[in-house]
Amino acid sequence: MSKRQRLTPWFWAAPSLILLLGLLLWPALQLIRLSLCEGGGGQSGFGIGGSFYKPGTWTLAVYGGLGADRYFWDILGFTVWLGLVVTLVCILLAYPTAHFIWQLPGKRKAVALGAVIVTKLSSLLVTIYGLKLILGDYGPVNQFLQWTGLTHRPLMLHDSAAGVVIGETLLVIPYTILLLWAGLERVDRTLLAAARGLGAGPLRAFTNVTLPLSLPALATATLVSLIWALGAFISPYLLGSPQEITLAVDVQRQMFENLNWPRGAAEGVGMLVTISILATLYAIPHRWLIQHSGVKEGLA
Amino acid sequence: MIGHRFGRLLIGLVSVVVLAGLLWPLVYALWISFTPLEILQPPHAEWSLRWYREFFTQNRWLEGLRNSLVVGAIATGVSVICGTSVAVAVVRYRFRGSRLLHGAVMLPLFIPALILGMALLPMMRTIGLWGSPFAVALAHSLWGLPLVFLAVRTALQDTDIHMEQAARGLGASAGQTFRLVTLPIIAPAVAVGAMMAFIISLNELVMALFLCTTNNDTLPKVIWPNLRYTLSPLVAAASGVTVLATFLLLGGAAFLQSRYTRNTS
Repeated sequence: MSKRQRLTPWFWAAPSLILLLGLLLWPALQLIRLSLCEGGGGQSGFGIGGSFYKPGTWTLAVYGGLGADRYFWDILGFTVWLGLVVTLVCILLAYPTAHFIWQLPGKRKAVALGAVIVTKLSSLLVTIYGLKLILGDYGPVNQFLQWTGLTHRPLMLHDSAAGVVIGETLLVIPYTILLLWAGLERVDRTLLAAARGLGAGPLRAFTNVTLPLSLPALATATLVSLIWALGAFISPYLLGSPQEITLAVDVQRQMFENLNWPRGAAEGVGMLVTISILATLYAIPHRWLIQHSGVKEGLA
Repeated sequence: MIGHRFGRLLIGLVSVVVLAGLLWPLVYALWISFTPLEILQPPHAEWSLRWYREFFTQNRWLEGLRNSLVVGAIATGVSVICGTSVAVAVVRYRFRGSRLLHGAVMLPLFIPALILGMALLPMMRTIGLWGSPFAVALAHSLWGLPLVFLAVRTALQDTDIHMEQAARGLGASAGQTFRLVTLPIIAPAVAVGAMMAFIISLNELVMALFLCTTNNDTLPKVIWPNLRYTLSPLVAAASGVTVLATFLLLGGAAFLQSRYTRNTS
């Protein structure tokens, strides 16, 4: 192969490489650098010569400050709690749903998948807005509960942790369903038929064939759901009370309200590091799972 | 036997509730947008386009819509150029780092928008793009890139490589082959990817929150401050406009996709 031929694929890849290096790698490095600056406080108007940090300074003060800040640990605790709860709910609800979709005949399967994709593609804002209306004091859920006589006054479904969990679940679960469904589609149906033919009941066939073969997809779906749930922003902002603040909401406030960019950047770096650790933790057992379950390729 | 049937019924029930729960908020917000009243109650007897008329007469909403369309167009253009070319590199060539490149292209899809927005804000300020539609558009193209890439990759894998080899054998240059043979074949897939990229950009809020300034707010960012406190059905109508645009584009994508699959099979 000549040198020119070896360079051809990189010629095709160049636009994407420039985009990824310029808009992913460079900003990430700059974010880390920013978190090591002294905070400047924003004395003048936002964007017009305001100083949100002191350029050129090197200090670990921000990280030390975070460690000493009780408020920060509260936020972190709620973020992790929300992430785990939402991930668990998503997996528990998405697995049966994905399995159900997998079993549907062609046309109906396309419709069900379409419904999942449509909610993911249309505005998250509209979904949360609709949910706010539905969960509101005079919304259909509360009206129904009172009509049945289960409660006599509206439940606080919005502006509460319950609202945040429901909202975030709605935003994350399309990913979980799609990833699990994609994993189930890879399961060889003849194996299931064979298990049934050898006398296994549907439950046994599921636990001995379908479940082990779908484990890699389950791991992927859990990881992706967790990453998205840990980054929860819109749902706690709109459906939570001031107690339900996640790291993401706080980052936005540090950047735009407190104008303390180094602190916002430090919290962002923390989120990035968490995601990287999770992804690494996942990559090792995932490789093992793939080797031992006989599934050829995991999700790229 | 009764146990099995019960289990199957339970799974079906959970699935239907999940799917309905996913669609309900969307449908409910749309339903409310047609109310003739000033309060947030869905219309029953009488439907009206009153709040849509209001939307299309108020300047800030229209400007938001226009900004969104401009940003979407730029983001789509960048995504299409980058996504299509990198798909060619990954599918048509074997080279070292190909898998790594594949992973890097997909990576932005797995990073929450908040982190992308926050990391890009200081950078866009440094290079002076902050406040121009390009800042948001470039950020959105990070998500558009993997979508276009996925669509085009599948199409390239499905096309017969012998046609390209024949063109080369008959004396066409690599550029000519791509322009006259490959591109016409994968064009529908490129269009589908482009529509997906546009839809994502049209509906994206969080990156816009960081990268828009008041003079180039996109529609979701104009809607955003109204969601917490304002209780006007006008917000529902604004949401309705974005959902309608999304559905139109999705319909177009589905149509192209079905024509494409019919042609290849």
